Amino acid sequence: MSAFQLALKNISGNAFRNGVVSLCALLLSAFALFTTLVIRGAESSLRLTIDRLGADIVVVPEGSEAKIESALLMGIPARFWMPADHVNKIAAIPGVGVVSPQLYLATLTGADCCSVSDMFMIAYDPASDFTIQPWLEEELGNGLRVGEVVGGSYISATEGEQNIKLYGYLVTLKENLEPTGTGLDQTMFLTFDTAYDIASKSEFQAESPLIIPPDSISAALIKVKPGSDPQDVALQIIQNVPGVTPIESSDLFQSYRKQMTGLLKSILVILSVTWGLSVVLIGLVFSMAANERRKELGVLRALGATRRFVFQSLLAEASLLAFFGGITGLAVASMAIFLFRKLIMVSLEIPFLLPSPVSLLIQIGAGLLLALFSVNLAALFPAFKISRQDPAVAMRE
Amino acid sequence: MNKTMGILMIVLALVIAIVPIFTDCLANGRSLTTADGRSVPMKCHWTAIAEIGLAVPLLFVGVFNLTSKRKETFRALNLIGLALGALVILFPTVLIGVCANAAMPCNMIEKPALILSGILVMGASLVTLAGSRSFIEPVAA
Amino acid sequence: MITLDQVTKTYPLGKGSSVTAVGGVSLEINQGEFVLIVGRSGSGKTTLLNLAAGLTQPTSGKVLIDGTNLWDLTDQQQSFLRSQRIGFVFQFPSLLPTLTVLENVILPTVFGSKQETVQVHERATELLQKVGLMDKLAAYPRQLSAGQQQRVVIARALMNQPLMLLADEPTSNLDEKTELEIMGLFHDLHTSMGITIVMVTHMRQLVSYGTRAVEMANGQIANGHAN
Repeated sequence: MSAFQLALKNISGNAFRNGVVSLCALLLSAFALFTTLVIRGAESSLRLTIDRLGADIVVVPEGSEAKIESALLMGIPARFWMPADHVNKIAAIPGVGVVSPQLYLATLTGADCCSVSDMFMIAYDPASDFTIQPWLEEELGNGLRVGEVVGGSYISATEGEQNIKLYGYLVTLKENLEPTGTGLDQTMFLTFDTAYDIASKSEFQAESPLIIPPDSISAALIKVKPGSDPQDVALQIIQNVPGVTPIESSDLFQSYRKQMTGLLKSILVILSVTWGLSVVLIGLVFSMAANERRKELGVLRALGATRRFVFQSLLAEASLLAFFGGITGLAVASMAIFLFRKLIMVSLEIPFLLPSPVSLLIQIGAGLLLALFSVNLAALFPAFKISRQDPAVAMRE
Repeated sequence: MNKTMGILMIVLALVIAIVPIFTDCLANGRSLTTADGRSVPMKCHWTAIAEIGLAVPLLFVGVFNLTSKRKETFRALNLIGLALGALVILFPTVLIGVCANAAMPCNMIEKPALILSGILVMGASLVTLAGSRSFIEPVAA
Repeated sequence: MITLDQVTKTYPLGKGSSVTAVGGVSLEINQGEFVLIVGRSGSGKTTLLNLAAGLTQPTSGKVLIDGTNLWDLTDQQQSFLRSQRIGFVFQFPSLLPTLTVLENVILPTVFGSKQETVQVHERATELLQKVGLMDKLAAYPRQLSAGQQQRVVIARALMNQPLMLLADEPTSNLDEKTELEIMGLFHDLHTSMGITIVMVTHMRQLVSYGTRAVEMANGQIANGHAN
């Protein structure tokens, strides 16, 4: 029998005490994993969304910054308008490479004519678009025809195998985008032509018509020319185009970023307090355990165990408890985050994307190390103290 | 170990019985309107009802895990627990299902809660089954 | 074998006061002896045994085992010496509750010199047969009576083929019938294996089992005589 096997057998004694230590390790590692996954998931989701937009600058009507952020991040439909003529004014600014207008629309809420409700719809101009169109050409070989839509990862056909009814109009869902963990996952993308077709027919087919103000757009996405500074271009837009706000992609979602920083700080405080309390509790439990087992440990010394063996054996027991508790906590936390990801997004009002398997394994490894470190730290002093004790004193009544 | 798993199963049985009833679409004010104008619950509600039917025997499995003393009893109980856990997962996913829309409360809370609970029930049953292999019969007084 | 040379053991009580459990005792235990150390409770007999075994360091004096001063050795050397030379039988139930009977008996081999697993299991089984517990190999201590547990402890004490057995009140928690059985076992081990035994007891009637009796009182040897 090896020292490790002895430690393994010893942890089966006193289920309550060992259960408390394992439970502390379980909660600590689960909480640590949960918080790192949520924060990192929100960060990577934001990054992916900005990449997906592909724009260096997004121009919206003044005062609509918060609405566009909510729309893109949380899928809350946004409706705002500015003159379509702004596209020409923006295109004339030196440094602007491509300008692509978009229309922001919404499906009806709870209407009989429609099979989905409260969905955000983005209509794009295929001639100038540089985000959806290139991807479509790659995936489908061509762009969307009139009556066809592309959906975020949560959009699914509700009329037959491929169709969705919007404003009494049947559209065909051609493809779904990869998940972003943001509101883009429950957004539908369609061409300007399809949007106008739905609008014109909705007067007869829908409970309420889809109204697109004439000569209006909601936003303009801009790609600057190589070598140009987006900040300079943005300044020129402010000077030359009245009533608009240009948002650089690096500034996009600022309010959410601030929210997340605040959330991160709070979480770190809670995690630190939890960690401290766990270490203290585990230390107390170990002290109690070591005191209760002092006769047993004295016997081991009498049988020939060195002080070092006793010390290592106690830390081996601590490590085993930390490992079993930690692995269980990490497994449960991973499953919970995967299963409840939508609820996390909605209740915390943050975007969220699951990590890649490799990234998840690394974070699980870090969580396990935290559990092992914490439990061993807590057990260090009691284990050292009891291993130095005179065997005869240890075995005394 | 058996007692711990038994308590866990009792808690999970209560979760499985109670959580779906409060997190299905009917509890959140959403139902289907039929052609003749009647309001009927959607399938997530029937999943919730069916889960109660699984939670009750699971509660007994948990209680007997606390009180039993024989190795064979533990084996039988936890094989039943394993089957019940599998059904808890299968009802909202394959056998009955919940609403298709990802934003509905049944999809956000009811279904993941049931899947997680089912996995934990199966895990607890497996742990008890593995532990019962080295179970020691108590010595007669 | 064991030489105690003017050993003293004092325990501090705090506030400058102390208690002397053993005061300036000299004792020699030779190979092949069965020495019984008798005395009332608090006479220092257990402390004397602990000093002889190296389980507690003397405040002054020397403890020699085969001429080597025990307290000149490192902890590792002392522990090794204990595991190879000395077997212990304690008064309290000293089996590890999470190990089976067989695992408890082979426990000393974890600390001793490396032995083949097969040899270890064979020896443990042989010893359990000797103490009459062959049918309890897979049992846990809580499934055994106090007398049976003590037999297992004796088997464990013999596992590394020690040169001596040190027993501290091994029968004080047992009923009379079991006590006689255990003492009979010690006597058999002494006569058949020639093993040196030092036993501490407060029961004078057991003195007849040994080759020599040493009486302790107030931390001193009051009277030592051969049987």
